[in-house]
Amino acid sequence: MTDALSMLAGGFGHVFSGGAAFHALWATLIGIVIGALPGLTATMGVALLTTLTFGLGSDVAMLVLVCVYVGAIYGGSRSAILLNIPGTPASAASTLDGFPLARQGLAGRAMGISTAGSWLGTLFGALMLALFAPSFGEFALQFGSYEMAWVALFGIVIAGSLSGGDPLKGYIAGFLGLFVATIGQEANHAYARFAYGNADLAGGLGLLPVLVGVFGVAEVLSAMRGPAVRAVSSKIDSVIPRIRDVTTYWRTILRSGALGTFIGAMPGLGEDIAAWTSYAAAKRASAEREKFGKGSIEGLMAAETGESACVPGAIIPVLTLAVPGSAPAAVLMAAMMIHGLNPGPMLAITAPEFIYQIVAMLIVADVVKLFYGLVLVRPLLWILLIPRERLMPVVFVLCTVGAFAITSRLFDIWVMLGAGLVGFVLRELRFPMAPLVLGIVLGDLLDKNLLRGLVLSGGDITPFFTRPISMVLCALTLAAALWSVPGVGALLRRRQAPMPK
Amino acid sequence: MPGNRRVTEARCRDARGMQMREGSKDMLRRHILLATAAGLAAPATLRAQGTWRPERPVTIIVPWAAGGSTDQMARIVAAELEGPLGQRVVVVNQPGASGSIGTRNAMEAARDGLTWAAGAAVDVGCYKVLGLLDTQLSDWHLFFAVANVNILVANPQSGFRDFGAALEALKSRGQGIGVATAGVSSAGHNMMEALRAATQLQYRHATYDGGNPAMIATVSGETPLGAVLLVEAAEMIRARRLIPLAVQAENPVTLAAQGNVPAIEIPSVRRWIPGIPAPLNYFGIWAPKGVPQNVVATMTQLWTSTIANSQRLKDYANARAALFTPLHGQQAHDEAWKMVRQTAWLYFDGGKARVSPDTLGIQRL
Amino acid sequence: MSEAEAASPFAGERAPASPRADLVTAAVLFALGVAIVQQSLAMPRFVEQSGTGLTAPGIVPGFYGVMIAALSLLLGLRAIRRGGWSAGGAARRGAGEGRRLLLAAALGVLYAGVLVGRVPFWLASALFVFAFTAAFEWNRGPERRARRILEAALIGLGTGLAVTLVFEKLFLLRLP
Repeated sequence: MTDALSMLAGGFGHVFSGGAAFHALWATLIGIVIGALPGLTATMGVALLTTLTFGLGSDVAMLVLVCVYVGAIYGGSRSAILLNIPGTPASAASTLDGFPLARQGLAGRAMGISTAGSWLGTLFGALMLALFAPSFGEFALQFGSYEMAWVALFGIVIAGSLSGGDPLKGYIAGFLGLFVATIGQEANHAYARFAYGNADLAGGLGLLPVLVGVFGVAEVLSAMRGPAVRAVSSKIDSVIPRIRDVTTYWRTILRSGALGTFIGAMPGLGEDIAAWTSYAAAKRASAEREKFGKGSIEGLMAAETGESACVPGAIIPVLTLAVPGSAPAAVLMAAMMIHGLNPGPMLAITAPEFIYQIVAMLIVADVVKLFYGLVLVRPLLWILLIPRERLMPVVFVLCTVGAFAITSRLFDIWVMLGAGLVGFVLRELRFPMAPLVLGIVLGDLLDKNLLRGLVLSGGDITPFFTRPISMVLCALTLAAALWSVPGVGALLRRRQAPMPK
Repeated sequence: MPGNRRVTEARCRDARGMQMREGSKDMLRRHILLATAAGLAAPATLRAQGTWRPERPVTIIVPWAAGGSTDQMARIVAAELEGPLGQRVVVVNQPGASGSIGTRNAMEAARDGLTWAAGAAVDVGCYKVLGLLDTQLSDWHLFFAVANVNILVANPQSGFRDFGAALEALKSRGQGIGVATAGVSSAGHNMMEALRAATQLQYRHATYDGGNPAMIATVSGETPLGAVLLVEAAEMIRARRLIPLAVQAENPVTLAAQGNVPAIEIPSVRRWIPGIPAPLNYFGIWAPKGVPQNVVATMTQLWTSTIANSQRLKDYANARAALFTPLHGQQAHDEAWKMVRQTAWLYFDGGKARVSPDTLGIQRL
Repeated sequence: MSEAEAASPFAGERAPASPRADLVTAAVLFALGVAIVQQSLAMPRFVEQSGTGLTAPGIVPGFYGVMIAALSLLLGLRAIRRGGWSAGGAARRGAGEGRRLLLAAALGVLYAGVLVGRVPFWLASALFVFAFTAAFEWNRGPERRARRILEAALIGLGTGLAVTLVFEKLFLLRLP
């Protein structure tokens, strides 16, 4: 313990010896801007800055990349709260309660909650990284194909609970999302499903263009549909985060922090799933469950803490196993390799101080993020004062660039447009969009891991139930399914109600 | 580190040895002549046509996800080219459909030299065979940076101490032994198919989302064996979490010493299966033919001056057990062609080819 | 979809869709589910390559198709129980709403689907923002209309140039 503390002190000393404050300031701001623009993701931000910081030396480059990563995940919530458009996939869960809060004139408070939750989340994750990195990494190795298939199934079961009132439509939206994820080449025989000879479809529909479509384009359409002069909520409330919001929900923060870090450490699961899981868990445990989806402080806090705790979590397996825990972490790892830092199991032996330097960088980035969180609230609130006739077309342009930015393909703009129109119709028919997006995220996971598990076992399904972690996950999934039975019961009762008896 | 340098030299000798045995002496002489001719001709061409000075950022399309081995190579090359080109070189990731989407976009972009594709040359050479993309290796100006070798690794608990033991097991009860690869027609999968063609072994093919996840599956014991690129497995081999069984190369490959880990010599698969084809897997960047001549001339000159002397690429290759191979032009094509010949016929024999390689002028290796 | 719900400030609190709308949706989704199942069955099975046929590409999407069809059947039954047959169609929404929606969608499709990729990006974006703002502010009455249109043009031009500059110079994207 004292050893870890002195190593951490050394890490801070190392970070601050290289003009850290200056680099952290600009890099975190770039990260927040990238995150807040719909379509530009943390992955893209880290990849872009990898090339741009190539000549700056590995210490500065790592600090910049960590700051961009931390900033982008946080920045995505700005647009989620203010515009109902998640800036990155990680912030999709933040729209559920963040936007209703903004519509109630509490945008400032919502951003304060987001800042506090995000700050504590990353701090929590960074401390976990410092204390338990090696054992966490080894535990992540226990999650093979069988376990990942259960994780995906578990996510699908809880998708219904994210549906806000109508589980049946939630599940339908979830399965539509799962279906969208199957489009394109599958993993075992490289057969292009539902592509009909189209080379672009063979590559599949990207999560990001669909996300920008169903949230961004659909939001622009529904904003413009309303009566012509509807004043956008123009009240500017308190911009300082409230201590009470933190102290009241300390349980939620700790739970979300632990869940976020843990999910981050799992290869293949990223910030988006961390946010969804924290949100769903908070909803399950909450005493005020009915507020979720209508502006629950607890819900927003859970999503924000979860996604931000995921960042250090995703770096844990990078440092201990050279296995990225999320897509941005994969790019960060590549940058480490390019800079000759050789992350992996040898790192603890060859350069243990590097782990603590990364922890110090995360904490520096986190503090800078808090600083921006406090000073940027007021300027961001001005966005709410812009009339929608002028704001929405600009948002639409940014959505278009965002959909295009990731892979520079016109195809992605068309996917965004199509997903936006279909998404708008589905939203009008009261299908929730959250399970749809979750379905796309989990579909890939379930498809590949389920089939791989069957290949590995030679068609035998017993490993799905007999491996120790599989058993636990199976029990969890069944429990979650049973939990939603009252929902099914209510559904049946509603169906029978009009029938005369 | 003196130990480190010794190993580097040993490995360079290996690489030269490999090249020498692959081509005849005649070939080698032609390489030297070509190289000399290019060196002499380059300044004249540049004077005649003017150096290429891109007025907008140059894009390198990596048709795989960010963070993979192609992506790492492309980012180093991009950074090395930026200075002498006097322009930003941006890496864009366009993954999907076995890399054919990104490559197609590079093919369809304006032929102004501002759009390049990166990847493994063998993929470009085989897209047409697989029916994924209407292009051939000769349609591109090729510039290679590194060559990777495939390796078969084993989990330490799997009981396979050397390649011979694994080979016996795969031959006798292969249907029950899982082998992790980065997916269909990945380098590791092609290595297993080559082994199968040579020895009639069987294996249970488990596909993962890239070389890194496949390697991790072997480390965690989900599969007893894994067939990946040596770059992807190097760190785990050094940490003794993976047993290196054999590399698909003509000679043994030495993993350079690092820290207190001594150098590790990995035997060649030819020790057990003499005569099995073991061409090198070249990674680099390329532009479609039809780009202006001064673009090609400038890039050729940069390749012989900047890239061939890039310390960063050399260090990267050395640490990750790749071979530093700054080839370009016809020589690059001829070197990569060997693997195209081998792989195209593997696809054909495996029933995956849409057209016979014969019709495309690809002869069996 | 009544007039009352449009006034509700929260998307999540809007009244549920009408039983008639649910019934039509269920029919469409059921057809989609069946089509997915049919297409999945038609996919190659790769039995020789895999030995077991367990990796057939159609299994997973086929399962999703079955689930979509089954769940939409439930949705349809629920809608019928709630009076989906008898209701006199969905309540008509205000004509202005439909017109605004159509205008926004048409402009969006024209911009992202047609203009981008054919016209330089800054010009396409400037035209789109200008047309959008000018069209939606047209009905505010004739006074100061010229001024509003001038402002719209300036916002459009500003957006087009700013977005192009920021993304091409700072984020090094090559815009269409």
